[in-house]
Amino acid sequence: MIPLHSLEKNGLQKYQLWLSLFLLLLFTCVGLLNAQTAEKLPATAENLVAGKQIYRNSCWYCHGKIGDGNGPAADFLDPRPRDFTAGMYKIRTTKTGELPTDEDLFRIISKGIPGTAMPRWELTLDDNERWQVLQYIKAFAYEFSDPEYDPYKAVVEIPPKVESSPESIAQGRKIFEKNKCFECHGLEGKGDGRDGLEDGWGFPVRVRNLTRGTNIKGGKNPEDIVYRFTTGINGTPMPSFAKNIGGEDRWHLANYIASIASTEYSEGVILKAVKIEQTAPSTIDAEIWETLPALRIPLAGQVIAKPRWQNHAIDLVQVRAVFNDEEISFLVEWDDPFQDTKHDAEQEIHEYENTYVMAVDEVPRERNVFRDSIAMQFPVKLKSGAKKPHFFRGDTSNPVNLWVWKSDLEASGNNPVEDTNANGFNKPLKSQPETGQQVTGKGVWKNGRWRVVMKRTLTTEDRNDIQFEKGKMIPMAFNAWDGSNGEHGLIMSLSAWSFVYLDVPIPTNLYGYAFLIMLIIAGLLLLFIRYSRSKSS
Amino acid sequence: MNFFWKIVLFFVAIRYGFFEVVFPRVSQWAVNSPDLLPAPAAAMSMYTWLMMVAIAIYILSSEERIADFMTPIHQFLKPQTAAAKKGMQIVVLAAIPLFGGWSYFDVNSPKMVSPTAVRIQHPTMPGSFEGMKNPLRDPTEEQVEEFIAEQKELAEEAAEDEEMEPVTVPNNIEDGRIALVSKWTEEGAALYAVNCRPCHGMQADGVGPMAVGWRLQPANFRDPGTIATIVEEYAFWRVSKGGPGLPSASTPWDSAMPIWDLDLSENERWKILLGEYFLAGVGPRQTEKLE
Repeated sequence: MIPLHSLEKNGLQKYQLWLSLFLLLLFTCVGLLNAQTAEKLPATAENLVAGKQIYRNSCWYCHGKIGDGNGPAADFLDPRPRDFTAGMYKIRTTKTGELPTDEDLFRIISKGIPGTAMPRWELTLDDNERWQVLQYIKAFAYEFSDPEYDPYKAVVEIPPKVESSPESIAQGRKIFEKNKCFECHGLEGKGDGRDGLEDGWGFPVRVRNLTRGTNIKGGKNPEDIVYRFTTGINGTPMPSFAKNIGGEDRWHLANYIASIASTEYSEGVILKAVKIEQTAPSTIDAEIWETLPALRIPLAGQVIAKPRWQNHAIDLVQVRAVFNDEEISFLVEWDDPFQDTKHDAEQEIHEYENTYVMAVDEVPRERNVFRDSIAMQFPVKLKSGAKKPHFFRGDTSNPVNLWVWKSDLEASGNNPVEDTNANGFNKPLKSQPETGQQVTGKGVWKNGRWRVVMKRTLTTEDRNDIQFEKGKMIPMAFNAWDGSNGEHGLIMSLSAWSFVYLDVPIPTNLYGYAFLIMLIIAGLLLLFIRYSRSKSS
Repeated sequence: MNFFWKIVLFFVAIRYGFFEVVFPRVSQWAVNSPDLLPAPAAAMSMYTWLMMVAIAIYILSSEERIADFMTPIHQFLKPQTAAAKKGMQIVVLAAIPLFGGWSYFDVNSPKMVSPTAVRIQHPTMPGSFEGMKNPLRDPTEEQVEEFIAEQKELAEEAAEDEEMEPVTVPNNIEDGRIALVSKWTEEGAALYAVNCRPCHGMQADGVGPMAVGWRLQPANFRDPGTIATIVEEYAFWRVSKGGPGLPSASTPWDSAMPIWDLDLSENERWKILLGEYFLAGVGPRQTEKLE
């Protein structure tokens, strides 16, 4: 504290001091009063009535009018919307099997659940509205009104936070291994440890890919992650590790997971292909790849035409490119927990009842049915200006060229890439004749990630092929299929247009022209100086 | 400060101070955008040239100003003897041709520029949609009577079944009409939740779970510049014909909007619009009347 007399000495009068203290107090009170209105609202009759109205305006479409998680949109969603009547909640700060606290529920309603259909209601409902609907939701399960199940008695204790550091992260990795986290989450955290898991409601469970931080349901910060393995996730195979991992070790593990949860989309939309002198690489292990710029492109479920699919597995593709005077090579990488190299065409489904494919039981979302696959898409002709074919397989007058890499072809030892064309989503891909098959490829799956190289000459004689021109923005898009997620045909994920740009060196004559311009300006300047001096003398 | 420096200061203040610093911030504030909004490069270069021409005319229009403006320049170019002044002279005189050469090089060297396209957000709708009305906003008397009869039956069922929620039966045609439209609105919102929510979001704010995958972001229906500013038949056209139905000035190739008339009936599409306007908390624009 600064002594009052020293302030007075500095020219501050006593009344000024008291006035500022008074104002400070006033603002604090106003602040506290404001904060109080955001405090939780109790389950009074009025709040329940208001909460029901909000629920009927916003929530029931997924969670059902009677809160059983069977709203009209529920069948199409994975994970399925929460059944409020069961009182079983995944993201909590309480012990395994216990109810969540009001603050836990409030947080989920406010922030939503990343990677699922649950939105951030704080964007459109104010604090009071969220508390009101929360009280209404709690009323669906009798457990909340039974003091025996009071969640506040079951809140877990978290030791004081350990800040992240390289040592803490290294320690965390050891704990990850010691507690066999990889048995489900995979050695590199891609969720590739185990398949065929089910949750407490009998629905399939896909193990979280820990490297995609934005999709970690309970939040990607160490402060959030530390709760997930402390409390476990009710109704899923994720247990509580509270007994196995103690004290500071929990923070080390949380810091480690937060450190790998870092893969994000690129900000830009342009992939810079780099010019090299040596041969363009044909395999994933060429050293040059590591040195090249990468573009990480977002993919969405194919929800544009029937069969629409919103439970897509592949939501990010990373791509790099390199070229020489003859050829261009792309390295395409994406996370896929399981290597699916078989394809049973008889199990492909062609008739769909609804506008969207249902999440469960409509397509086989299991291994050994459909292949993994990826396709790079380019326009057949580069148009002037912004004109492009439609990003979803082109259109009647603007065809696209797709290079489709297929894991089953790769496994059988054939050329795994098919050079195909499309002019609209409503017609199947058309494979080019054997003489037109100029794209080669090589794919390798390891620890939950596919890495595929596709290579072609810059130009071909084929009028249905993309011709790579240097110094041009060439539109590029992706289609992707994860076989064990039931994906085949138009049940896939896809990206909008990005661009690949084949970098061109600065033309040598440009240096000459720039120098010439410089000389001309210098000459004119000299003439002007002479004129100026003659004038002033 | 002499006349020469006043002119230079004026130029710098307008060209950099106003166009580069003030203008982007004022436009940001005016339209409440999260980012700074700089003036388009083409407009900037036009303004710069206009300003230079204006300044030149201003100076050249009077012998006195020409003299005032040129004196410091002639002064500067005089042969100098003091080392500091001479050095200064050489640096400035060398910088001018170097800057000229560099600018030429910079403008002409190949660059990786993000291709941008001007996009017309609300192109003219095809004549065939003009003047259409949402039939579900104004049900016929027959439809209302049928609905009241249904409600009566349901109310009887509900009286016997404890599990069912109580059903209210409208007392007259007017109440019945309101109740019927609100039933259709709820059904429309449910159809929206199934079909439109993946991109446009349950909150009708354009950030559904699929939105992140598209370059052209789904429309935010809560934004007063989207469905609130168009007549309902326009929205009906957009829902029915989707991205591919847009003219090329509206970059149809970047739009993920489906052609819903392939998969949803006309009734379902009008119903979705009832639900969509309800979820967004706005109403369609009313057609202007010609008196």
